[in-house]
This record gives sequence, C-alpha cells and structure tokens, in this order.
Amino acid sequence: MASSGDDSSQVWTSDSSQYLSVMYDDTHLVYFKPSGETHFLNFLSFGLIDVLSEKSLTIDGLHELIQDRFSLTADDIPKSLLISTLAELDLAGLVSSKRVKEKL
Amino acid sequence: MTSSLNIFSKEEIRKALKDGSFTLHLGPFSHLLSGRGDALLDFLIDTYRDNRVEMSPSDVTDVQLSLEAPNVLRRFFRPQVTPNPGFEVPAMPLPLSMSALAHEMGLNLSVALKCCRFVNVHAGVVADDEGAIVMSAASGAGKSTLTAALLQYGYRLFSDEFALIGLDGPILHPYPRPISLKQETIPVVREMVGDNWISEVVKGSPKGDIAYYRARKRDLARDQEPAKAKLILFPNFEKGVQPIAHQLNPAEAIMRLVPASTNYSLLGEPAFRAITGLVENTRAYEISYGSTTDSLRLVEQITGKKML
Repeated sequence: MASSGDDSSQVWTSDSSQYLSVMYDDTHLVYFKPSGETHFLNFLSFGLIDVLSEKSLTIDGLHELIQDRFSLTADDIPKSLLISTLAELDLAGLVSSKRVKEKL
Repeated sequence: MTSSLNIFSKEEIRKALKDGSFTLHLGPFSHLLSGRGDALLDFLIDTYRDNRVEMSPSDVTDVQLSLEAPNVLRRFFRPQVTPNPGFEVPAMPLPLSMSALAHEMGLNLSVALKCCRFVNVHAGVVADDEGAIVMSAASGAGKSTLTAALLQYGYRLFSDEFALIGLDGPILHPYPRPISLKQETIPVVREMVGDNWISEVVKGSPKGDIAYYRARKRDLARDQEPAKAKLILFPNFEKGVQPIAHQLNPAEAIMRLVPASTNYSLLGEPAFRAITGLVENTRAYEISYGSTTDSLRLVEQITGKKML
C-alpha cells in the first residue's frame, strides 16, 4: 500500500530478487515479477530501488545516500521529489516501507 | 506424413475438412482445421496450394480451428460462419462466402492468444542472408504492403502478422501465411506481384475489401529456418508525407514492441528476456513515407542494400 513517505519512523526497502532490469542509455527497463509489469525508469527512480535493495533506509538516510551516490546537492534533489518518486515506486510495488518503533 | 495440398483432390480435402482431420503444417505450428462450404475449400485450394498438409489428425496440434455456423438456422438459411478456436472470442458471424476471412481471423486469434512457445509480436517479418527485418505497426500503417514489396527484392517471407521470437534465444521463426491485403493496398500489391498471386477479393467485409497474397513455394520450403533480427522498423504510411527515418534507442523500441505483443503479459519474465534480447545489437527506426517506392528507398538507406 502506498504511503506518504515523509515519515522518519518509516524504513524503505526494495527486493532485487523480485525484478529484472536492463539499462539503455539513461533509461532502465525493469520487469517486476510479482505484477508482471514492465516499467521504464529514469536514473533517479532506478537509483532509489537499487540503493534500497542494498540497504533499508529512512527517508532522511535515503536522501543523504542518493545525493552521495549521484554527486547531487539537496537543491538538485529536494526531499519532496524523493517522496513523490517513492510514492510512485510504492504504487508499482517496486519499493515498500514498514514503520519502526522509535527509541525512547 | 505430409504432402503438398495440391496433390489432393477437392473431394479429399472437402471430406478431411468435414471430418476434422485436415492438418496444416506451417512453420512451428500444426493446425487442425474443420469447416464446410465451397468458399473455404476454394480459398484453401488456391491460397494454401503449396502448403504441407495431412489428411489425418496429428497426435499433437498447436491450433484447433473449426469454422462453424453460429447456430442451426444460420447453417441453412442465409448461411453464416464463425471461427471457433476452442476458446471464447468476440468473433462476429460472417456470411459463408467470407469463409476465407473467418479462417484467417481464426488462425490469427489462435496463434496470438494460444501459442505460447514464442513471444508473439504483431509485426511483418522478412529476412535475407544477413538477418530478419521486423516491421511492427498498427493496422493500416503500411506493414503488409512493405512486407510484400520487400519480397520482390531478395527477402523471404517470415510472416505478415507475427514476429515469433524464441524463448530460448532472440531468434525469429518463420510462419509464412498468406499476406492479408486490405482495400487500396490490393491493387498496389496486385500490380507488384501479378494477378496469379492474389486470391479472390472478399468484398464488403467488416474490414472492407480483403484479399490474400499467396506465400511463395520457396518461402514455404524454408519455414523451418529461423533468423536473427538485423533491423526493427516501425512503419508509418501517410499520403503525401515526406519520407523520413528516425532512429530509436533500444528503450523506445522496447516500449513499442511490448504493447504490440499478444502474449507478453501471459509469458512474463521469458517474454521480457526475449524482447530485450531481440533489441540488443539491432538497430530500430521509425519510418514515415507516402509511397511504396519511398518506403523501399528508406530501407535501402538504412540497410545499405541496393534494391531499386
């Protein structure tokens, strides 16, 4: 189920065993096995599922790591863009999130 | 044991069709056909004359197509025919005189929806010694005319309707059925190939006037010889348009091939692998043109193979 994404108690993840991907220039073609659908993703969207398949992250952790991975600044990739992209990927089933208990 | 259809008498063929024991072998598929009436019989005898057939049912058939009256009344009174491929299809009953169209539609539906040994993409395919040209387009975009035209310049027919892509490797398999010609393409292809190669015109069908360009004996003889793709084209015929070719990147080509496949969703992962494999190392172009000559010139430019 899609969620808003802007929640520091949410951890995002992706399972690379659930999809096949092929890269053409700056486009990634991703076949998602559970839905049988094929998605065309730009470098950022694919970068998100790629990063999340290596490590589950909160939105803040992901924001930081994605800037580092693609040598971007926070201005290049505002958190709002990350949140909306995650929401789309969540709808497609390519990422999922779970809520973790905050430490007291 | 298969034999060429033309060695059988009309009565032998009629009996086999009536009994449901007429088996047509073509490319990777065997088709068990049944039906009645002179319109179907005459069409098969003329248009499928050089095809391999058996007058007894094979052990295993890929397609089982029966051309039937939609109800008892329509068997006798203003007789009609409808293709029954063994599963529910939204097929409109046609007058018995349009049996040729019902037959071809029935075979297309059967292969498109039932034959899953290949990824089926709606496309014309021809090949020479260097490889196959896949031409994927919506109906009316000039795919059949271009397919027919390329046959006159050293290419052999794989199919006018389906690119059959192997699941065990990105190889195209021939399925050289007659080329379906609609409306104004009929005189264009007739002039190109001569009267003897074109079937009787089915007039006033729901698709307009329809005729079929018979597959050549030499193409049928090579229906077990697959080929690698060398080029993917997305033709677009439009009257008066200036001829232009626009190269597509692989992702764009795949974006167009996936929706043109009739069984991609059904096959899933193997279909993804097959289509991406096909596009790899193959150039893809969208070509727009206003005449057959222009379309051939564009193919000449892209392939570097002199034709005109």
